[in-house]
Amino acid sequence: MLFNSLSFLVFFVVVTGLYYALPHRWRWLLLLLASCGFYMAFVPAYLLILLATIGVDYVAGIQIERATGRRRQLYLVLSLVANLGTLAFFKYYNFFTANANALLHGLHLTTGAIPYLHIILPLGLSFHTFQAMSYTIEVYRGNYPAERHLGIYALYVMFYPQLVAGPIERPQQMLPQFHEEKYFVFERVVIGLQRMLWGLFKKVAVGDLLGQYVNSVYDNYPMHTGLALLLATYAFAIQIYCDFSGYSDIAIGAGQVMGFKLMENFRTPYFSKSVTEFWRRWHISLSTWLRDYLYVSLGGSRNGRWLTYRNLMLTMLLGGLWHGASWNFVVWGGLNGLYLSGEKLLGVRMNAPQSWPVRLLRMVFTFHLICLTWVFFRATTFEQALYIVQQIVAAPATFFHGTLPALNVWVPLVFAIGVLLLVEGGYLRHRSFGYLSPQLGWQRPLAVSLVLSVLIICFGVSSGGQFIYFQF
Amino acid sequence: MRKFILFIGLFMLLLLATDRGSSWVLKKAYLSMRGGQSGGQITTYLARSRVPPVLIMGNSRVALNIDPAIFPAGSANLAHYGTGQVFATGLLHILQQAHKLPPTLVLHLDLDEYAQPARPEEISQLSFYYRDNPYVAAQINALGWAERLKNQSALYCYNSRILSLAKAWLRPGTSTDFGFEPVPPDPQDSLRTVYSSQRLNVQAGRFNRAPLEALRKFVAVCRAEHVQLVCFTATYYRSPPYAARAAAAVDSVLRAGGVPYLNYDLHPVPGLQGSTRYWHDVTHLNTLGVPLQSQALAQQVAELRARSGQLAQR
Repeated sequence: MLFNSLSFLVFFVVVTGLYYALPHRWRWLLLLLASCGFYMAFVPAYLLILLATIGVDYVAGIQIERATGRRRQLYLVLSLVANLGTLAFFKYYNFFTANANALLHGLHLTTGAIPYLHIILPLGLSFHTFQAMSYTIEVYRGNYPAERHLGIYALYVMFYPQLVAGPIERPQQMLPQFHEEKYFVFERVVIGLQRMLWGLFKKVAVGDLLGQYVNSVYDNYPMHTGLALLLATYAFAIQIYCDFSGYSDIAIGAGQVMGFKLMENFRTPYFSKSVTEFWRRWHISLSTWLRDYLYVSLGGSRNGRWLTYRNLMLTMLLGGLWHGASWNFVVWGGLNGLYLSGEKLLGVRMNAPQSWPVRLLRMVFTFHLICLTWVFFRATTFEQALYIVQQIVAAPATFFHGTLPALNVWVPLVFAIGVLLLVEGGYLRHRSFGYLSPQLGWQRPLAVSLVLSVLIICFGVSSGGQFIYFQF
Repeated sequence: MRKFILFIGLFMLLLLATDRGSSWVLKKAYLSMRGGQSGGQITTYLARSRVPPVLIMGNSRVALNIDPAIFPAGSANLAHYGTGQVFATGLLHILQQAHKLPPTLVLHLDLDEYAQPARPEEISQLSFYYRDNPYVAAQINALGWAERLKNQSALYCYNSRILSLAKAWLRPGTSTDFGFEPVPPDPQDSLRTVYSSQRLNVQAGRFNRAPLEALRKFVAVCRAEHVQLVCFTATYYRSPPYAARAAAAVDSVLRAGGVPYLNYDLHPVPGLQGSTRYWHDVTHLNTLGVPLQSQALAQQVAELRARSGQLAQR
């Protein structure tokens, strides 16, 4: 059940209506059942895998709290192995098999190739795995007590607005909210609905529209040369932002309607003046997770310059691999790691006082550094990515040849950039969605909702399909 | 809660008013469109005072490959890119409702359809006629409750057409927008043709029977309206592996309906197959190849028309 479908609209209205109709003590059960139903809309049998890991983590959390000494570590390891083992099997088995078989073949050890398995990746596996792991790690670190209510813990992992593509929450932020009684607050509900509408607009009327052009170029890349490939990469940068931040807005808005506060996942990332800053504004829930549980655990920046670079590279390489079982994603992560290490080496400061032309130049430069990584992210093979980079960067003679985008691509691209600059770059940088509260008058929220709805009806791509980050 | 219900009610009312009001304005713009793939060709055709002697329908393989000027004077090309039999049958019903069916209709059958998953949703490209044409409405409603609900919005039929409407308003259509859009030879043609011909090596999926059902309906309407129907499949640069099976299935339906089928994949136009000079890509000709395909088709259609006595009546 996709967020950009009418089925989800019906689901959301029914669940929210029942949520407020039920007394507080039954709401967790409703949300849990609804979340199970939401998950089962994809592949029903995979619910069992999710419930199994929930059971392991629930028991592990309690045992970690009760145990002492090495037994605490044992239960933590059990939880991590269960979660990472599930992730490794479903997501990486065939990837490692392909590479192992290639290695065996290269070493002429072909007595028996490792068999491939037909595995369908459970939806949202990477996300809820990390969210579950953050729970047991925080309990182990003593930062949060173990949750005794199995249903509430299960809901923490499975809460449907953020189940399949985040934001990846922490137990300190989410678990207490499930225990609190929520009341219907007109203003909060209206703001939440507007946020959902904004997210839907970004996804179907901007992201999916641009995606049609991106697909037509990237899927036929040998037919296109430098400028077209560059424009398609710019379009992909906007597409993936609108797709993913749009999803996050819908998730945050849906949570807000029910009284839950989910963390912000994006903060105008393309206005970053450095890659370091970019990673504090893009997919914030993942980058903070990697920082707190991987980078810091490796030693962070505490053990000298060269170990810092190593830790940054490892963190970003694994972060890349988290996105997908493909060398393209490893290269994507590696490039980001190189950028971050390079900025540390050069002493690039995020908030150095600079004139606006210099800040603008830094934003443009950072945007292009990120776009280079998006080529590897979007391309289906490493060879395709290299070809595209080569055509953009190293083929000046043919740069302007080939098929340029038609008017029906230029216009949405310019429209998308204009709307995003106006709303997220201008309006939302200085105000929040709270400015659309009906408490300040009904005209503004009604007008905004009306405009967004009309734009969605007129420009929304109904065949746009699932969100990009659903495949992770 | 009362305030919320009032707010939502007010919002729905404003949305309904905007929906109906905007669609009234956009309808006028839509009907004044001339040419283009977003409905302008259909409105242009429906606005004609006289029906053409020959109307050619199909997808991009008609839009690029068949020149209507080679057919009797006044013939028209109503091709729409990326469409299949479901769309063609829906369009036929629209022409039937408007009493604008030609005496001879030449329909292109793309055999690729039969090797790909069914695409019933392509009927949505005719959503402008949802409120006016019962057949189109029934086909769209058959897509599911979500499509039925979306089409209750009068504005929804302009989804993905707003830019085309704006473009048509700013730059009215020219004669090259009316179905036939020839592509001149290009240095990249042979590379593109060879690259795209690799796709034909892809193993076809399950045989898709859905277009056959739409084809039967097409044949039935033509018979009921005494329209002489001629079906054809244009030459491929290289015949795909699934073509024979698809052609056999199509042929059996057409034989049952007494409809002639000109299969230029089975009997290619001499010199066209395998010669990259004439091709833009594996299924589309450039302007060097168009006359060869068009003349072969026009000649055979003329012979069939003559046999049916239509030329004598003209």
